[in-house]
Amino acid sequence: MAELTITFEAVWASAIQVERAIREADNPLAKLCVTVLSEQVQQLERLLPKLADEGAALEVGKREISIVYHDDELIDSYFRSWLRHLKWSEDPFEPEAERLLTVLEEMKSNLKEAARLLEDRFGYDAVKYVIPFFYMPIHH
Amino acid sequence: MSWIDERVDMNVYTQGEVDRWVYSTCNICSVGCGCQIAVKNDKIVGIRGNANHPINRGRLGPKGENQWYANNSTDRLLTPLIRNASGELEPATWDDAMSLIVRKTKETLQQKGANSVAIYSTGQGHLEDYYTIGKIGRAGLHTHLLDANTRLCTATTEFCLLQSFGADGTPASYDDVDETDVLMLFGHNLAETGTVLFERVMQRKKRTGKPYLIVVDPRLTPTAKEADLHLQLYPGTNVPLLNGLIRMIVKSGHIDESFIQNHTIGFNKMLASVEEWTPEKCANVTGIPIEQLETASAALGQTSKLVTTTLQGTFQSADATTACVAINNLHLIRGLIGKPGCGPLHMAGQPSSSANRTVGGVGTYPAHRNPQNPKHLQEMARLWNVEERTLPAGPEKGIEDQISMIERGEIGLFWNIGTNPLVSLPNRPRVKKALESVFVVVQDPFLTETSAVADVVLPAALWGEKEGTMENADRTINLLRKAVDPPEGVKSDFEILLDFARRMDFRDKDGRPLIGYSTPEQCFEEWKSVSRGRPCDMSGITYEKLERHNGLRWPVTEERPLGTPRLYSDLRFHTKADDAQSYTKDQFTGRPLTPSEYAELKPDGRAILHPTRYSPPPEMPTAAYPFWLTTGRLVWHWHTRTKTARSPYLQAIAPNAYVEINVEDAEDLSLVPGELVRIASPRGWIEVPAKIGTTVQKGLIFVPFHYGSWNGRQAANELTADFVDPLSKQPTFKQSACRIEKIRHSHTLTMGDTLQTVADHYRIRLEDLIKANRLSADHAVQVGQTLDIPVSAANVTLPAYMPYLNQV
Repeated sequence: MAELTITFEAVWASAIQVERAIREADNPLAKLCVTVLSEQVQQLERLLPKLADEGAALEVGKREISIVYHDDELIDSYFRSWLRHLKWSEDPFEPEAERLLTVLEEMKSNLKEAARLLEDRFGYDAVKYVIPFFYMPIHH
Repeated sequence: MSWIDERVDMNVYTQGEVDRWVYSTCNICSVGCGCQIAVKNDKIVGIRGNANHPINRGRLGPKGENQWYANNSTDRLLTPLIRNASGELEPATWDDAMSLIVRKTKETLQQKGANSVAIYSTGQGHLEDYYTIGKIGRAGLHTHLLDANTRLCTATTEFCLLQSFGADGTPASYDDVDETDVLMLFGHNLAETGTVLFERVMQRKKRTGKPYLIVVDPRLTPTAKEADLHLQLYPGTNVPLLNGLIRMIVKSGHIDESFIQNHTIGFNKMLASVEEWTPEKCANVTGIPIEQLETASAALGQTSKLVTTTLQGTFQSADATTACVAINNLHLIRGLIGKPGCGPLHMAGQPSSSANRTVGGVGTYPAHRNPQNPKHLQEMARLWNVEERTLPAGPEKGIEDQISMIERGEIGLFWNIGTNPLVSLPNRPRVKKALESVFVVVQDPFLTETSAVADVVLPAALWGEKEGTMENADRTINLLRKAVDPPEGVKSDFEILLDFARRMDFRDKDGRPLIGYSTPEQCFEEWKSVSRGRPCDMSGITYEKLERHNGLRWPVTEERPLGTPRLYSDLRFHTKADDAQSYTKDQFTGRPLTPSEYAELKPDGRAILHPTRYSPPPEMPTAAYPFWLTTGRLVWHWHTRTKTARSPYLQAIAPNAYVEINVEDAEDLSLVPGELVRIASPRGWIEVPAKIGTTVQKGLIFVPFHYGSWNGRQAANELTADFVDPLSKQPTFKQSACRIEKIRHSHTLTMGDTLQTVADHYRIRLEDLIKANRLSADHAVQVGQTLDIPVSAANVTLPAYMPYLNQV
């Protein structure tokens, strides 16, 4: 699980970075982002120790994994909405938000990689109801 | 008691007697009026109401009466079109068009995977179309990208019901409206969006004095004018109002503690979420005086019979699902559900959007099955005879998420059926840019504005030219018989979908065609078996029964052969884990709960009270954009006017857009009635005449969203922001920020000029010239003085539609 641990640690680091950067913003969309990111960080902090056990079954960390992914789906949507709002209101934070978007996109890439690793390890049928389909490798 | 009499409304144009009348249902709003189509010489020549149908007893609304004109419109599409290399749409054969679509679908799936093909349908189609879309989408394409314009009008209904009761299906019905003592229309301008149902309410009210009518609306609409209590709140404050009212009701002791104890969970957390909403805070945030709040809370708290309806004022506002959940909370803590005259009646926005939700053309799996529950997917796999592992698990992606996916190049084909997103979606500039970048199929009877981005256009049949069923706002399934064949070269949505499935060679796990039915009625029979045992069980319905009984309200089973007037009479809610349509979502963030989180709640058949935390609209007025913008419907037109603009009568009454401006705001800006103004938002701008009055409150303007032609700048959705509700993903059309800009010439007075000569020269009224320049009537003008000249000033006059006042 070492590779998985490294990948989820990267996700955790990105989530913390973005959460800290935006936690003082008062727009309702930003507050939604902060709430979701905080939950995501919390779940990752519960998950990471479980991943240290090389022989752990998916069941052990399935709840945290599912929450992390579903939170990421929300963040993607809410952050992009907030970014549109920043542009429309000509907010000086907008360039920084654009930069943070790249951090979130990197998070998503890492989560897709983690999904691939999880599917490789546990099989598609096991992860089907845990990880949203949009993170899974494309199957033809 | 329902209607006391019948009145057959009729709109027919024919020379000579009608040949036959064909059984049907109105295809406009979600009330679901029964009607008959007039046919002469195999052509539709009119419509009349069905006197025997319990919903309307013969009555029709103005749009319903006029819907048939579109069938004979000379600009019907009669052939498929394919965009050529020069960028023009040119006629093509059905074989060429469908072959292109199939080829493109296969390419897209190969290159980008299953979630690269999106089907975006409508709330104005048939149940059988939606079921087929769901089957093709889930079991054929394996996509999550099934959505419809129902996302814009009624998604919130579905999600608030899932949150509180475990399954879709509005608990109350029109029968309860007939019996209730207090009716609260929350964000629901029924007088203009459901005229027949409003007449039904008002007929009883005039006769009996009931119901006591509470109307919650930031505008003084025709509905609000009839209210006993109009709560004219500030935009974006639905949740503060409801939280304040609930708090008052709890504090006054008007709750059913036994009901709460035995039939709900979550009371304490819900109560904690409303605690801060004191009457003073509520009044301050909503703008509603405390005395009115007290009147409302007394009426809601003391009545033994309450029905609350909701529509776009709730669904398209910020905090949409939370507001509707708050309404569910209200009914639950008062124990006012599952009994006559009681319950939430969350409406639908279109004649059959409910059917799209029920049979799985959007959202969850057919018959209220949970896409996160392996057992539910195993059931679907068995029913469809496919492998469970091929059925996609997890929630769908709504249209706004799909736009984002298109922008990122993740979607390769967008199939648009019976809807006009380039007029109806918010932030139109963004939508246009996105759809220009993807392969678009437009399936419609006419060349709509969305055709501008179409790669293939398929001519589709209209109402009256196809058979099927629809589900209205109160769970009634209605039948529509085919009255005439569509024009030559035109096919029904159902036929097109079956053709697609055949060409794609979708098969079940035994190699048989995935779509085994060939007629709508056969499809309905298959759907019945899929629905058996689920909340929306329709196993007791047949087409013949629907016609004989003039609609049936599900569930319709052996035990309930004539349907079910209200849900939860047994106070058993669909919240057991293996019954529930959803494991619910976090009420604030919208994150789906995991199965284990849901299990820990232990609802076990009880309703769920959710905390209702307020989240203001993301965009609010600023110095640069100091007005609230809201959009909505007129009584005279339907959606993007694809049908209603083709009625000469309706189009003559309301040909153009306008903006409603409060008289005080107009005075501050020295606007004159009918003056052409520019309304600008951070997204774009439109130019429309000003209708000045008191319908909107100070600081708020209203623009009808029906007018989206590429000729001119009148489309309300050039202005709107595309934020969505966190749970339902329904766009929040009702709250954007904008400013009003005057469009004026300047005229510098020269020797010989008088106010009258200047007014005459520019062809405006003298009084308008005086008003526009804040002059006094006897103001002496001077050479060299510069006057503002409104570019145009043509009064906006719209007649009211209130026939019931003469009838009742």
